[in-house]
Amino acid sequence: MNYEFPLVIFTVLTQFAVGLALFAAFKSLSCAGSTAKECEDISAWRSKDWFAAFLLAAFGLGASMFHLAQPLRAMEALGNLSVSWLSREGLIFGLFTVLALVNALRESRCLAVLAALCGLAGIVAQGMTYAPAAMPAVSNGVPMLIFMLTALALGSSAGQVNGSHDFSTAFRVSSASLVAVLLIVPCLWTSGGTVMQASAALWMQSWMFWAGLGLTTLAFIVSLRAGAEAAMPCLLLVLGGVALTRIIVFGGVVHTAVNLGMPY
Amino acid sequence: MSKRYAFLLDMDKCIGCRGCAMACKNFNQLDPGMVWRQVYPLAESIYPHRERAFLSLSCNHCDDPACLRACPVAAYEKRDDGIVVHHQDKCIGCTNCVRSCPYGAPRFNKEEKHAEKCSMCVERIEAGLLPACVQGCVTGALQLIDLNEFEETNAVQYPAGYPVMKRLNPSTRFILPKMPRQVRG
Repeated sequence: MNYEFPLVIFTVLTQFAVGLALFAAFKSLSCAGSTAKECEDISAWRSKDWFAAFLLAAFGLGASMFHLAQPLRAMEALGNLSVSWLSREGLIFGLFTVLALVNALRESRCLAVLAALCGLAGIVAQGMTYAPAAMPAVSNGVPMLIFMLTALALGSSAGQVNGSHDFSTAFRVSSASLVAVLLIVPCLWTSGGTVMQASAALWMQSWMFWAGLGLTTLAFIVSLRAGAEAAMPCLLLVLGGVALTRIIVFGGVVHTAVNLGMPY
Repeated sequence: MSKRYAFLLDMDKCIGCRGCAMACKNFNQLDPGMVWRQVYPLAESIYPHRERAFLSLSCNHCDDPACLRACPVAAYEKRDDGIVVHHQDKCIGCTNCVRSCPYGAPRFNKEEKHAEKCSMCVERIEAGLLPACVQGCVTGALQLIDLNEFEETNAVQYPAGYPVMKRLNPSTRFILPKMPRQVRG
């Protein structure tokens, strides 16, 4: 199994950053009716959220370069924007990283919304990039759905760590949905073709898959019991869970070429 | 009308000698461990006979190549004659083409740090010669055809053991092996 660790780190961190940006933009917009003092306090926290989003996205982009055989030529990956989703993904996340930094230094509502929309576009590009025709199990909307739920689960848990907002409902809905999707998808593959069945078997037989689901479920239970007060434990649990399941999302999907000459 | 070059594999004639794969490796001076053409025996569940049947596959030079769409550095080029060429000097080794091609045509060369694949021996074709694999086929099972003038009604695009990818529209055509009455015992 090829674990693709640079891609695991890249996708998890950039989705974490997008989640943080989404909830920071939400905080920015929801501040509209509050008093000036309240807005000032929340703004200081938001600035830290944006800075964290910038660091996560920058570190994720850095990690993605280790996936390349020739990392020093990484900038050339922006050279086929007209057809390649990988090029578009690189450009959009580059732009998102810059916008996150600008928001951290001098936030405005307009820029916050722009950064959040850019992050969402990045998730769409990522969903398209990692849904190749050669992997029928994930050549569909499944990667995009998993990536979106990951961003929401990580963003909602991290967005409430400073105590300024309570996103525990959003966290519980997104983490429970993520667990449900990760459980349902391989079950559906078992009624598909030979290659999809092989992918389902790899997922179901992996301890990392079950450990990842276990950690995410535990984060859901902790949040249910303690709410926003347990934001940090929830964040650490869901981050560990997402990282483990992501290793299987990349390493446990069977390529059609492995079955050439055999039934499909 | 422009040409659309393609491989035709007569599976009834193919004896699985791997001469095509050797000729490809020799002509293109491939590194140890690298193959651009590979011969796959058909599984018994597909062809349950004493005689064996084989799929000799390299790049299928698709009409809408997944590798070309996946490549972030535009290292792939679809020529007017249908041949999909990979420019190795442009490749940065992201392996997105390797992940994207359902037929496993692009292979990653760890030593050279780039992907590579069959170019249908485009330089030989331009010199009026046949691709090395076609030239090297001892039974005449592997042929070069122009799909725009190809009228063989027996040929199929998707034999068993070969993924159906209608959007990509692979150009390789196959003549299926005969079905002998004696089942493998």
